[in-house]
Amino acid sequence: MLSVASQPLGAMLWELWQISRRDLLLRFGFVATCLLLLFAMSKSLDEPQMTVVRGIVVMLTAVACIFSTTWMVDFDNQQLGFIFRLGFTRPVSSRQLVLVPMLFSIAASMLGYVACGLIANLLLDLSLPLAGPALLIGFTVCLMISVVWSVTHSIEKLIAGFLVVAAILGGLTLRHPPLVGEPILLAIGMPEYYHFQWFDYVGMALLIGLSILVTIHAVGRQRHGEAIRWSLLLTSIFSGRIGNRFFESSKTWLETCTRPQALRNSWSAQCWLELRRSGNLLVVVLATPIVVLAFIAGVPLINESWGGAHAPRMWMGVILFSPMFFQLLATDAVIGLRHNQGSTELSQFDATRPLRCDEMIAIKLAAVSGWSWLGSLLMIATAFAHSMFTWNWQYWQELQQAATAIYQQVASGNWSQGTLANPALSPDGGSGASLAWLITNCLVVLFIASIFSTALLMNFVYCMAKFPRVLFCMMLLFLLHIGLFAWDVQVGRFGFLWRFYGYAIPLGLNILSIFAIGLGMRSRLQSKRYLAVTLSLWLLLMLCSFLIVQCFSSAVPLASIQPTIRLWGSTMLLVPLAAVAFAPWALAAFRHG
Amino acid sequence: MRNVRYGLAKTAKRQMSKSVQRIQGDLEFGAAIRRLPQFAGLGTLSALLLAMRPASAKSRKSEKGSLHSETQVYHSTATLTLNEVAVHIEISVRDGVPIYRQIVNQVRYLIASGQLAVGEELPPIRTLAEQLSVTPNTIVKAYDALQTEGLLVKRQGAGTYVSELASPIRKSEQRKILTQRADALLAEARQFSFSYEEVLELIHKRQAALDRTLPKGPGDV
Amino acid sequence: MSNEAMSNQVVEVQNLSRRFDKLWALEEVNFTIQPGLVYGLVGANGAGKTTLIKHLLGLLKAKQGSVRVFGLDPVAHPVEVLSRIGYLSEERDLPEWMRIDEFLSYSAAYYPAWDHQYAASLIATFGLDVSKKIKQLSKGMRAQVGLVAAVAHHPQLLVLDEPSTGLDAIVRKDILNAVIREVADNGRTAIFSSHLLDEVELMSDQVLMFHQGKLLLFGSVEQLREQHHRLEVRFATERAQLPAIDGLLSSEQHGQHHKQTWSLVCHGDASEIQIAIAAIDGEITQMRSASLQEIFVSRAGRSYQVEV
Repeated sequence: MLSVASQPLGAMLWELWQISRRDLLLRFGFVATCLLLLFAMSKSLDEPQMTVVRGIVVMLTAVACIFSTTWMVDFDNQQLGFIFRLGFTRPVSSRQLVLVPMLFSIAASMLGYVACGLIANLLLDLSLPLAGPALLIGFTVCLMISVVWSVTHSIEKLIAGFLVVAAILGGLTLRHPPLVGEPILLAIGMPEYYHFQWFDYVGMALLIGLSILVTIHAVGRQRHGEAIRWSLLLTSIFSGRIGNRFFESSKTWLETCTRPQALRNSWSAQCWLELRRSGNLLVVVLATPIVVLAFIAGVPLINESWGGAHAPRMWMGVILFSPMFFQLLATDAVIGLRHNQGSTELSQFDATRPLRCDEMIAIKLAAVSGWSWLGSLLMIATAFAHSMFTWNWQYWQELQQAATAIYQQVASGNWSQGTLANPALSPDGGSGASLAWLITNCLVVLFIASIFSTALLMNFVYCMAKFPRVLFCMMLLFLLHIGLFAWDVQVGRFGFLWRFYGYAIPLGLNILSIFAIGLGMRSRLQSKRYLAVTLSLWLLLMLCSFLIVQCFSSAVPLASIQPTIRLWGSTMLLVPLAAVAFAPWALAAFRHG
Repeated sequence: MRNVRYGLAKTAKRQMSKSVQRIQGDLEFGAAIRRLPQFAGLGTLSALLLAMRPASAKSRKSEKGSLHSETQVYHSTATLTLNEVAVHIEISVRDGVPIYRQIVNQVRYLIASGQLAVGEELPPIRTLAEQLSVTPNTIVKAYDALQTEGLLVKRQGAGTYVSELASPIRKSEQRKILTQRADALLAEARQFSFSYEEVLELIHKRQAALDRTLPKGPGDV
Repeated sequence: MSNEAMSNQVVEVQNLSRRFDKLWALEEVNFTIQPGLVYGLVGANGAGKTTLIKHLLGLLKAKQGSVRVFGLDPVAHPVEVLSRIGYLSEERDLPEWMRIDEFLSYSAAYYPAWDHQYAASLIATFGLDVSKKIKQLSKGMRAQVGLVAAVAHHPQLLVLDEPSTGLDAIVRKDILNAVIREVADNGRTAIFSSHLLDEVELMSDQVLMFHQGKLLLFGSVEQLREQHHRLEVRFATERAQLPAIDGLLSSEQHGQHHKQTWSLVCHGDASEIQIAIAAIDGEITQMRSASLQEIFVSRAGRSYQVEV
């Protein structure tokens, strides 16, 4: 218990430590495990590879240290005062109220990095730079906290956050010239990168001081019920009459568009609510491609070695990553869970909507899928536009060629074996059409899979929010296994364990899904319509997957696939269905306690 | 509406308290006694007004209406244990009498009826305030008023006591209270169109009933 | 404006106005609060009670007018002011994850005058298990814990925002008793807002009645009751409407068919009202001082009528 806390400062520190210790431990554990993993593999690394490892370690550790829940939780909180709501009525000056948690977070992240770096240096003999990155991390955390705490409007918060991240990334790349020729990922692992000049220090100190002052001032204002609306401030400064009129008219237009005019029933009302509630995502969805575009187009301007040739490859990565990114964001937006002073609950408002749980889930799923598809398509469109603009088709062409080659091989294999189901799929004549057929199939699978995976994600979030300790234990277990794996690579004694897991986990997943389906069905939360839609979607998914598998089956004979992989494949069969069938139950668990 | 819970003296030794306890079941009498202290404070104005009021069915209707509008009555009760004697002080927001006045009247009544003897200590301000859920300043005011009337004395740092002066006052206080009660009775009788003779007859009847339940006769108080 | 004059007033509010968008939450509010008294803050929802309390705590900055607590500006001197205030909020938001004992020693750190013994005795009276987390507590227990945190440092000013809302009679009594104790034993000042007018009538020495942001009435309970009368008036003939009477606040007629009896709430001198009623051929069948509830309903109701 708290013994040191006889002073306000002590009490505040104790509170901060109590709130953030689990988070700190988790982050530290994550980094430590990654280090262990690296340690396991480092025996076989030579010097150039070590440079890469160093860069990766620094980046990983930095990211893990920067993003902490102590300030991230407040990111989507629009209420004035956020974490300070309780502190506002305590007899503590605003300066202390801000400085203590701010400095604590900064110190925690810096110390976290130093600790991880020391472990890495001892364990791996990496000779990582310590002071430089720690300084940068503290700097970043300070700026981020300042942004999150002093801006109260969520969209402004997002924009400001983006700006800060972009500015820091830009700054990092600008610092690059001394090490021209090295990609930035490698450069940040080198001690030479952190040879700061005096003006660097002065700049950072000034910015840190400024951001602390701004935060104290802004939080102080919030304490006395006055938020600063930066956007209004900016618009009032920059916009003349015309700009203002445009602003007003677009605002009214938006409002009329999004007003609940013709909501015929509870369904449409709920849909409108979900869309409106996650409306802030529109900004993210629109801004992300622009930010990515700016990054991809901007980096070659600063750094020659990065060249334009990498652009398609980076786009490819971004496009692959973006559905998941948007899915996560959208899930967070529509999930309706609230963090209230340390406990998580479904908001009363959500819980009392006159809708069945399955209807709610269906709407939420639709909303999330919609957002993730919108975001991904926008990203693809941006990538396409960028490629067109720069006329950089090289990689795309390669990709297309590779795809065609695979397909040719598959199709000819089918043909030669005479097992082709569809006679239109001839290797020469109907190649284009059949490729389109395959792509359509894939798209359908992707589309349905996005819905099912969203359901899975939602289940996960609901269950974990209900049982936070389970999540914590699972994370620990997972990290432990990674550690074990790292050791195993050295020792090579646990092969049986991994083989066992290879069978046990998919089996367990299957059993779990059957159990979940049973639980979901027994609760009778699903209406017939919901079940029918779920089942038909699932059947469609199965059918399309089957068709795709069939195309490849001759090229990759079934016998050549390992049994574990086959088992894993079978989990793909049940898990999606289970996820959707279980989701209403998970929601109900929150709704009805 | 009025609560007629008159468990005034569960542990009472005094005769008055005993007699009250015996006739506890008798609602009319209990209710009448319960209203006593409050009437004492209402002063003669309302009694006179009531007396002047002509008897009619309409007036009763109007009373019903006014009752209807007052849905909630806030009562506060305190049971004071003084020398093993439990006495009630009860205050009501809807009486039209200031709360400190209600307390003054009831303490005065307790003294007059002998439930508070000379030299007996009254509960400290905080205790009484907590029991009645009223602001302490009301109690202060009530005690001050009683002190100026000479019924209470404050001893330096030792609490508040019923003063020696209270005993000569007692008889006159009793007379005052009974007079008011009689006024009220007559006023109500007038309102119900009872003649004076009918009232007298009723009093005789009740006296007989009281004699039956209390063979020893009413107490000396 | 001398410092001495200010120091013996606990709170001084001058010309305080506050607007949220287009709605006046407070309009030209003036009052002072003397030490040793209990002040009841009365008004309908949205009348400005919470806004006023937030101003006293410095959670809102006075945009127009001034607020002084212990002679200090609560915005400029949060530490000095807040350490002498005990505050029980309406939502009773407490850090959910803390245990009761942790919460108490945590709160104690903020207040040098924290009375550990008193806190422990209160906890014992309430029968609270200190090893429980606040998350697990019922609404009433939460209020009790909040109360302990609000009074354990014997604040010079106790501010309770809707302390009785949603609580059972026992916890309500606990809270009121704590206020009584602070006022009776230590001569502290208390402000509490409530919409249970009967409770306010019993519990407060002074009443501040708010309606739509305006300070409608301010005075001692007795004073207010002496100034307001409730009458039952009977007229010889039926009347569809009452003629104008000085000080008439509200009128209500009884019975659908016989429009002869009216009940009125009037403000002013009793004898003058009697004369006024007599002048319009009315007969007073009953007259008593109005309760706070009646005063409030008639006052607030009238301004509604005026607006509509």
